[in-house]
Amino acid sequence: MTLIAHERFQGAADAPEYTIDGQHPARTGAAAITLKGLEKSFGANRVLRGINLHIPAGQFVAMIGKSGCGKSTLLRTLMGLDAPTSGELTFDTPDGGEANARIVFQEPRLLPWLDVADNVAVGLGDKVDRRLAAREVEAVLSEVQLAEKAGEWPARLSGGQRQRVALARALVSRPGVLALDEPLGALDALTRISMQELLARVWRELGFTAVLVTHDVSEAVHLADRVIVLDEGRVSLDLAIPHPHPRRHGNAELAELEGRLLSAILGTDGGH
Amino acid sequence: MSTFDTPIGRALTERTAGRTAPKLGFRLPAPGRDRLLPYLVPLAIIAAWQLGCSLGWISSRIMPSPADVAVAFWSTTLSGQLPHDILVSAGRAFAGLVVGGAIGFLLGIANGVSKLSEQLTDTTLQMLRTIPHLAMIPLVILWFGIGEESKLFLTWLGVLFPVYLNTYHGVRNVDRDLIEMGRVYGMSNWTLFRKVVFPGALPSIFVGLRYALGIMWLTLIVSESIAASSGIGHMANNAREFMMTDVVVLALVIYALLGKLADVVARSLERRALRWNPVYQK
Repeated sequence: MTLIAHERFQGAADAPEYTIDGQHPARTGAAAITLKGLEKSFGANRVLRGINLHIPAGQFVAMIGKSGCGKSTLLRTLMGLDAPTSGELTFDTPDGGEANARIVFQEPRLLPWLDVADNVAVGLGDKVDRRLAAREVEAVLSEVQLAEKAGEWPARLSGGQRQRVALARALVSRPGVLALDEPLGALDALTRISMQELLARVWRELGFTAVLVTHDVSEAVHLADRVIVLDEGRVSLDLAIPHPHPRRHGNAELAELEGRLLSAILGTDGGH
Repeated sequence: MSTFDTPIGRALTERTAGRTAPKLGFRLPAPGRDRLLPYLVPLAIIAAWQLGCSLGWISSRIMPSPADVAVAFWSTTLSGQLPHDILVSAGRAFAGLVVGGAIGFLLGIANGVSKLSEQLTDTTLQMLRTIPHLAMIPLVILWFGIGEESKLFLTWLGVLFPVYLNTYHGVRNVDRDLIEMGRVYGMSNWTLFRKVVFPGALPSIFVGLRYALGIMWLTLIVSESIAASSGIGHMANNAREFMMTDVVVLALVIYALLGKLADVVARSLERRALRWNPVYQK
């Protein structure tokens, strides 16, 4: 662990009003997330060993690490899919209400028997007025550039289109927190790049708090304000990426950060 | 037992045959070489059969000619006996299917969804399932005599198990990831059932239904031949006593047509309900 420089995010703990490159204030619904001594064990296997983090409202955080480092478990615990063994997890919204958190999985998980529009409407729940729901669905589908596919069966879409529908389903209720569990992992390289652009754009426009789990260092550096490296259930590096958005692929400074992160992730292995 | 083709097998054969089926919904036969080709062999057999009878190679006491069967069809239709018997048989079949199908469906859903219900009833059902339901005939006649109850009981008993097994199997095999997605997206139990579990189990339920249709006709034929005073089975049995082979063969033809009709209806329902499935899209 001696190789790793431990950098703290500037003023992370006391800045609930977070701004993206100083110009995009976080949306009012965006929630701040605080984790205190979070632990999660499956039997004797301690997957998360005391995670302390504060994620300000509106920040884009990427979690990265080797397989089995606990990043997916951390995300599942954040989303309430797994209960923490011990520790505290709080969501703070500016208005004090309940945080609206949504997740995009690695697989699209669309319901094959519903068309695209109905799949997106799943994200609104049952209690919404039908006409209002139809308008919301239409709006979010054009945001992900799939408006013309509204009546199509999921089976007829490409992998990238399906994942865009899944993103639309997550965004349709205008969440304050969006969790992304390796959402681009199963896509081909070109589709992945266009999906990254899309993610960066909707995040800038909608201003939610984003937590992205990925194994792709360049993706993390390209999208996030802050990259957290997990190793054996602990935070081993917390690195701010202060570059303005939108970011271009191939930027030299970002490439340098990418190299540092990569050696931080692999370094604990004894050197590859 | 009925032989039924699987959706995938059907899609493959249709693809290799180069048929252009309508995209979705009910398929109506349209004239065309590809449509008529499957009927060529049955027509040739009937022609050869008619020829054999007309030339005296086949005794009419063993096998009536197709023309005789057609005449029997016409006379029994005019007398009103055939329509009446068809209605009686179809009514029995349908009643048995509805009762047995509903019980099998509800048990399948309950055991697929609830661990408690499964632990309570699944072992019992699996044991009962292994008894051939037609072996119950002597007992059923003792219980119900030869009235409607005995036929209804046997039919629903036969239909129950294929529907139960396939519904249960379908519910248990719904993609866990989709259920997890539904829960994360805040679906209530009822919405989860309506939007995820039931549609996910539906392909399997249809397999059970089509299997049940085969058992339904089989049970009805057997029970009507043994103990009945009306219905197609009774008509055939009655005709046998008077050596009326034409009516006996007519009864077989009617059973074949009714069986085919039930399967066509079930298939159309399947195509409509599962039109999201790429297997049913063209």
